[in-house]
Amino acid sequence: MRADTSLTAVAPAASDRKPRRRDLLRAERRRGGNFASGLGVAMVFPSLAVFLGLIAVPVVVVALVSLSEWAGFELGDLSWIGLENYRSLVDDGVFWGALVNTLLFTGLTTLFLNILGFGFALLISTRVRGTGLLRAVVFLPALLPPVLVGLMWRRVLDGFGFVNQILQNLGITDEPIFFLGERGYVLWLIIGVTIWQFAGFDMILYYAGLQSIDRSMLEAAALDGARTFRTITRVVIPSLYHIVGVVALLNIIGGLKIFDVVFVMTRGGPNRSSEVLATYMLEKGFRHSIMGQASAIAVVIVVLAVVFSLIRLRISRRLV
Amino acid sequence: MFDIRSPWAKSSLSLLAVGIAVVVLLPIAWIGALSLKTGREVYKQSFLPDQWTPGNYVEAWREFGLGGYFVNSVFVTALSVALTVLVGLLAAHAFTWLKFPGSEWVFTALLLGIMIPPAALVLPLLIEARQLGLYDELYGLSLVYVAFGLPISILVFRGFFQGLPGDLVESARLDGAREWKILWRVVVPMARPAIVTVTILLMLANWNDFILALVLLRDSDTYTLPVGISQFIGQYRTPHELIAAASLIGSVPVFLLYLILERRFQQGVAQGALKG
Amino acid sequence: MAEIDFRGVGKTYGDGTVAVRGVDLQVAEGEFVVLVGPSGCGKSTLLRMLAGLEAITEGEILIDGVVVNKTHPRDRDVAMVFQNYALYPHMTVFANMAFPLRQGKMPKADVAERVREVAGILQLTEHLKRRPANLSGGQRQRVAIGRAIVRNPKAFLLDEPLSNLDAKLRVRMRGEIAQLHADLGVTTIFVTHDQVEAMTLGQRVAVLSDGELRQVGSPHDLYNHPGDMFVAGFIGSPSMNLMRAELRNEEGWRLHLASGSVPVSGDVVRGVSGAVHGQEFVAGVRPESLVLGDPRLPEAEGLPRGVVRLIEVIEPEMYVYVDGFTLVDSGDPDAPSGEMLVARQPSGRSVSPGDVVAVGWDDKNLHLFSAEDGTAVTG
Ligand SMILES: Nc1ncnc2c1ncn2[C@@H]1O[C@H](COP(=O)(O)OP(=O)(O)OP(=O)(O)O)[C@@H](O)[C@H]1O
Ligand SMILES: [Mg+2]
Repeated sequence: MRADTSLTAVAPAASDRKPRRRDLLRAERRRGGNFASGLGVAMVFPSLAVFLGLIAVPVVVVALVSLSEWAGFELGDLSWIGLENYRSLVDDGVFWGALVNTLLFTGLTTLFLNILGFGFALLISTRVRGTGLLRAVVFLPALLPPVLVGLMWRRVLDGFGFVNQILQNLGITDEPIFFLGERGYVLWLIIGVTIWQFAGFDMILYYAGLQSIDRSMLEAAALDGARTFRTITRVVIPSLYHIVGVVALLNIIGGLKIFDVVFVMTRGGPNRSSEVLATYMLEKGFRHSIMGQASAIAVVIVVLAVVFSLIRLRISRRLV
Repeated sequence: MFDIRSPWAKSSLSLLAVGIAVVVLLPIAWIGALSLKTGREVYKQSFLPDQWTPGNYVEAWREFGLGGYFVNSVFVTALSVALTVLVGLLAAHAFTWLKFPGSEWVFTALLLGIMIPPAALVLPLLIEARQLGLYDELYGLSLVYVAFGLPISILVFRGFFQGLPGDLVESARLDGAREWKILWRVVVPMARPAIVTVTILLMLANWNDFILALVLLRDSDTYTLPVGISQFIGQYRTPHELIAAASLIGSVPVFLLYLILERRFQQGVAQGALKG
Repeated sequence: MAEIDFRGVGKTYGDGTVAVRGVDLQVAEGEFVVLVGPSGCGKSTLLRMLAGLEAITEGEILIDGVVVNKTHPRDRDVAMVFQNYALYPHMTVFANMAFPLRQGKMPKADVAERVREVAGILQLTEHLKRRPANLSGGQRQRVAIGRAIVRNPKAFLLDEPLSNLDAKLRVRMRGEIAQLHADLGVTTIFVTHDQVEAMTLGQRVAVLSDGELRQVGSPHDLYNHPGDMFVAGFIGSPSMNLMRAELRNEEGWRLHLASGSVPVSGDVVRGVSGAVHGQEFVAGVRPESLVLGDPRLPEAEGLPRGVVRLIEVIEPEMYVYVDGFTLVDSGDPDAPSGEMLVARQPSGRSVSPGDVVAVGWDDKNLHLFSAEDGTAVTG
């Protein structure tokens, strides 16, 4: 913007843009109210429609069907029976078994995933040689489809599988053990497989948490002469409390939905020893066409998930 | 982060790390070896195959018709992820920069979707899918994935948008840009990291999904990979080495993606999980 | 180019904050108006309402005589330069400047030509291919301005455009903006919280405080005839000294301060309608108008006196802080208050901390304000 710049160069043919006042008037008339509203609603609409149609409506439907007796085919065959389905669940030993298994699975996987995840995260955060490999390898199973993980472990654990090979080579057993046919083993094995699959997932979350700790706090602790162990217990763990909450609840919510691995490894067997809520629900619904009871189980799953999600929401609010 | 000085501590930690990595990897490695054995060798005690048979993969592919499942999986994943990202971006844009009366309420309602486990809704979804003609249709399954993927996507997008300078959007408005253009020309280019995060999360969830696909698909020509492969376990005579090969084939796409994007992948998953 | 008319404009935010109230202001075609006021007084809010980025909750805003309260920002045809420039980080300088033009149907070649033209004026030609991240602060500032002028809008709105620049660059850009306005003649509203910037730039300056327009006038008017205590304290640096004073008529009119009194001519008193003996006022005297004298001299008889506490030398002047007075809070958070006057003196004078000095002033430099509402009572 030199003083020698000619002014005319900057203002091009002002005349061809003259009828602006008219444009302005027209624009003003065109928009009746708040200009943003209509467009905003339109942009949210597709999301809202899909959400209402495929989540909200199903939630309502499942709640309604849980109050009815219905085989799931003709709507006309549906009859309302109030809370009868829930009452029969209360008397249903298999349901209780599935519930206990689900909660046991959820609790134990959550516990061990957090311990291992945190431990691995600490380990990789030392950045010593080999931790890069650990980080890459441990996280890998978390990406695989759980169904395929279940399939693989079915092989690994079967009579001619890897585990039996090791046991026999080490001379611990002579005869192969059919792990997935043993009532006493199956639930623990499913828990073990899940931990194997998702420990790396928790590791990454904790690692992200560790990275967000203010470095200068650790340096201060080091200057104060704290040993590494004390630094971990006194500085690192306290500053990760919220993350622990969030990760644990994530594991809990994931645990409540357990289905894929059980379905392909044991189908809830043998003799229902690994039955979980989701497998039992599908059995009721599809094998036996007792939609009402199946829906009641679904409602139990939803309620459990929502309760823990709400707790999680509270914690992550504080996290920010 | 921790400054480990003593060489003794360093090497024992290294050993520990490598040890854990090996233990975690062994079962997969064994499956890998199994997938390369001949049918007769399957029951032998050796870890590595005597006779390497890569042909198992070709056979599994043909025998199980994996090609069709693969195409279905790719189609469903691509369609659902693209739709979710698109629709989610639109909604997040409005929730951030085009608020309307009640928009906060709508946002909160959408977020409730995060809490609902898809597994619990398979029965009503099946009923609804039959009514609406979405049953046994790949696009129907995709739509269901969109529904379950949207809440987390919108949450991540909006969180990211709120961190962008709002001046840019306002400035573009003053410059005469239409809202649509502002989203694509101004917001999206800046929101790449969030889009990558969401895409990774959704791809993973939708590629790996089993229960929704199991319930909402009927014919084997619509099966996705997880459902397709799982069909063979009940059949007594299915050769083990072929199942092993098939399982690995089904895992390859995520694995490849992981190799390409390792750190991004981990960051993406962590961000998504911690936020949602 | 356009004329802009604010009519009783007010803004109450959703959370109940009243940011602007009852603003009446006309900006003529081609005028350069500076909106100045302390931080948080509602300047940005006012500007954003004009741009259409914020809903108007009271009154109306007219552009060229058309009420635009509900017009979409894009249809108002005003350009705004934001404090942090709001450049699109992923676009080159060229693309940033071309963005407004590409929203219409302008042919590609014309767009490029126009951008080059403006880039030439702003000395950005060599930088057209770079991204904002690789530019200096001043260059970014120019791009932001370029993006505003490229589409030849009806009005420029600049919201503290210089506050992110260092002092030297700020002065230079100030000059460039003034020059640009002189060249283009586009109606411009320039927002700043810096009164020096306001005084050097504005043809007319509008002073805003607490969401209300206090005074609109030329820099000369604001400085010499502040309409109220706030404007008096806000305009000028260091601020005007505002002292509690009582007007008494004992052997002639005198203004009594805490530690003495200063004579006032009958002309001044007659200028104040209804002035009576014993009436309280706020007396305002600019630092450069204060006269400091030796209290032992006969002409210092009866004058208020104080102790010099601190001397800041800023060659060729110095600021002398004199303790022992009761200053009045003008409402401007940055203005002095408490007990110390500031006098601006040539730096050579021999005063040192601890000295007792007599303080006086010439009548013509005295501003009197009502003790009740702070409005000026003398011309
Ligand atoms: N979106 C908002 N919601 C509620 N109050 C707001 C909002 N934006 C601004 N305010 C309030 O309105 C008042 C005026 O704000 P504004 O930004 O207009 O001040 P300003 O004069 O531009 O200040 P600055 O010089 O610091 O930029 C302030 O008290 C501010 O806190
Ligand atoms: Mg401001």
